[in-house]
Amino acid sequence: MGRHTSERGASLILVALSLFVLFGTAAIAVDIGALWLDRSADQKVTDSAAAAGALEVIASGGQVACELALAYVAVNTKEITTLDDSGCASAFSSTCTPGQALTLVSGRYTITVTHPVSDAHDLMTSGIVGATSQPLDSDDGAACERVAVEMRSSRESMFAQLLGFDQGVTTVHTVARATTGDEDPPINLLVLDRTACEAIKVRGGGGIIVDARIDVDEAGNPVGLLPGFIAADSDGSAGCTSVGVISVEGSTALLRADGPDCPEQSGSHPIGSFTAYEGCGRIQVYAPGTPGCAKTVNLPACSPGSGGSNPPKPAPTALAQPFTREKADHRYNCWSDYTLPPAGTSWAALPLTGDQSIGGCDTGEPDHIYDLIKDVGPVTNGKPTNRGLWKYWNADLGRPCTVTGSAITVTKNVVVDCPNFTVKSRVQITGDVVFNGNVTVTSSTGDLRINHTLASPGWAFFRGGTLTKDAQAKLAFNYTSVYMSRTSRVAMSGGSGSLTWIAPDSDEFDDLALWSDSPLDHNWAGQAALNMEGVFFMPLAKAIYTGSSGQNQTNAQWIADKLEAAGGGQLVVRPAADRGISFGGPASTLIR
Amino acid sequence: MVEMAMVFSLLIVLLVGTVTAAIAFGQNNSIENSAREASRFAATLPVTSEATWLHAVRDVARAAAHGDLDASVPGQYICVALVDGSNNMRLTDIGGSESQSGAACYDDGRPDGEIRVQIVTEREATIEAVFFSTDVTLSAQAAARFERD
Repeated sequence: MGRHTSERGASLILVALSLFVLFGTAAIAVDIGALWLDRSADQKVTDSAAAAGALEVIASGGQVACELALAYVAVNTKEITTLDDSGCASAFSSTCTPGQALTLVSGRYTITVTHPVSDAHDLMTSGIVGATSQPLDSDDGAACERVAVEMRSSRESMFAQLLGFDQGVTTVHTVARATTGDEDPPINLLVLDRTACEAIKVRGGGGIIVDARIDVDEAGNPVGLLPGFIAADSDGSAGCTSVGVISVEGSTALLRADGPDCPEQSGSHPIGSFTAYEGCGRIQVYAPGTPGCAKTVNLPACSPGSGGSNPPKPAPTALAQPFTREKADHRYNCWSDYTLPPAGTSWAALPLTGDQSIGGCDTGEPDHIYDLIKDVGPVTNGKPTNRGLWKYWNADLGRPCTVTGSAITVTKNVVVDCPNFTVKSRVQITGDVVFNGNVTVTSSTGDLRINHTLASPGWAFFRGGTLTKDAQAKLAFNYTSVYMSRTSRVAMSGGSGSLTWIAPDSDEFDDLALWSDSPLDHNWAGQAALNMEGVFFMPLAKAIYTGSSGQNQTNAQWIADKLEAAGGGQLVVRPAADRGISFGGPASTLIR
Repeated sequence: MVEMAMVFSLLIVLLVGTVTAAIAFGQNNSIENSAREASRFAATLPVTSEATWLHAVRDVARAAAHGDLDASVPGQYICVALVDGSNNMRLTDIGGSESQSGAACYDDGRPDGEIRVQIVTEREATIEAVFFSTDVTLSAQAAARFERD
């Protein structure tokens, strides 16, 4: 009797227990499996949607970014065929306004598009399960460069209902940031004037050679050569009927871009373990008349000396659209902020863009140059007290405006309060420097050094004056970014002296060696020792390079309104990898 | 005892079904992930030559599935395309045999001139229930804007 009853009870309990366990297992396996599947599918959708939005957000603004993001949500979600994007227009204004977002519900999905995404926004924490909060870093960009797409999906449970869970919900998000893609190849020398003839002019025995550059893969290993690239934005509309936008005059003048092997090559030289071939780079002109450069048929693009005797190598080809100064402004400054007059100053010399357009700057973009101008400004501003502790060279430190005799070393931020500062012996300043007037480094003992370090870069500011370096004198800006106001200019004489000018390699002026708002000619010259590295940006000025003899190589990217080379020497331009402004098209990076 | 046997056989059917369904979910997850990884990779990969580009993306799609899209997998299908409406290029890989053409992988409804990447990954999964089994086709798609034009 007892045996009979106990067996029945055991069976019932066993079945009940195993049913419970089984449904539990089924719930975990099927329902949670389905939820994970949703999660991974949704992540795919938010990744491509946020990237698609970020790709257009700088050029076209939040509304277009929102429409594109929603389009890519629809394309990538099986259960959604179309999404109504009409709400984008009202949710996103034409400027990047904090707090803009649009939420849509479609079936079991809730989709939210957010732009801008502030640093403190919840979306800036990682949505990955198990991930800890991700600190902000420089790769995260500015709020206005970010587009976020969040997707929440719910799913009716199949088995877990029996355990009391009716619905599974999972939420994923992606934040993408607008970036600039690598252009192909990188530009070494760019002239920005939009109409001028002789925008690039080589005459006498002068020459410009843009060398090939070693291309590296993501791990930094050399993989080959990128061609040297010279570009001219001018359309030649200023009446270029006798000389072209690119003009080579005289039988010994030279304009050449080198690159990997090509049929037209005219010689070669080694770069690292690779061979660069002469005339195998790229020269592009916006003006009509390309390709080729034979005088009678190639105006206004190019005039190759008298009778076509000395054409540039390679022959110029067409530039589809002008590069403009836009990328430089986007990286260091934005025109939209120039229109604000600096408070409390009579700073009349605001920078001009001339006939060069700058589009797509938003309030969230960096305006490092303008910030510097606001802080330093004209001579009447005195010491830029927003930028640390300062001493006057003459009034505080008692140093003379004409330095001769024993060397002076100062480790301070200095305002050089001299209308004419003349250096005839060694002056070494470690710190940021503001020059109120002209600076002249002269005689064979003249040696001016503005020193910063790789780890701690800095800047020098010319409030209005000419930086003159005589033939035998020495001048050095180490890891220093130089700003020149509209009334300043560079006037170098070439000879047995030396010039060292190395841009910062970090911080807000990363890679920027010179930013000049001056429309005056900037004279550069060959030196016995020349070391220039970084971006030399003179968008309104003509840069004139006068060689002395032999070749001078610079690791610089030259951007000027016009460029002219003359005299006996050759300027070799070979920019260091990643030490220039990228002129590539828009791209995006997923940051959260 | 007879009731126990009947109940347990049912339970085992349910258990096996659950386990194989979960495996199928895992495989579906794999190919979704593969489509995502491949589209992301393709969006930033410069085109040096058509064949190189298409094969590189296909290889990423296959590798990201960790075996779930190998050529030996039943019903395996990978489609990689770079599409702008007029100059498309496409590679399909069905069970390891490839072919290239100028078509798109599917119609995504985006306008001509917008260059984008399309990825389709597919495979079959088998759900067993002891007395019978059923094959289902798992499919994932991804489209992303191409960032290298």
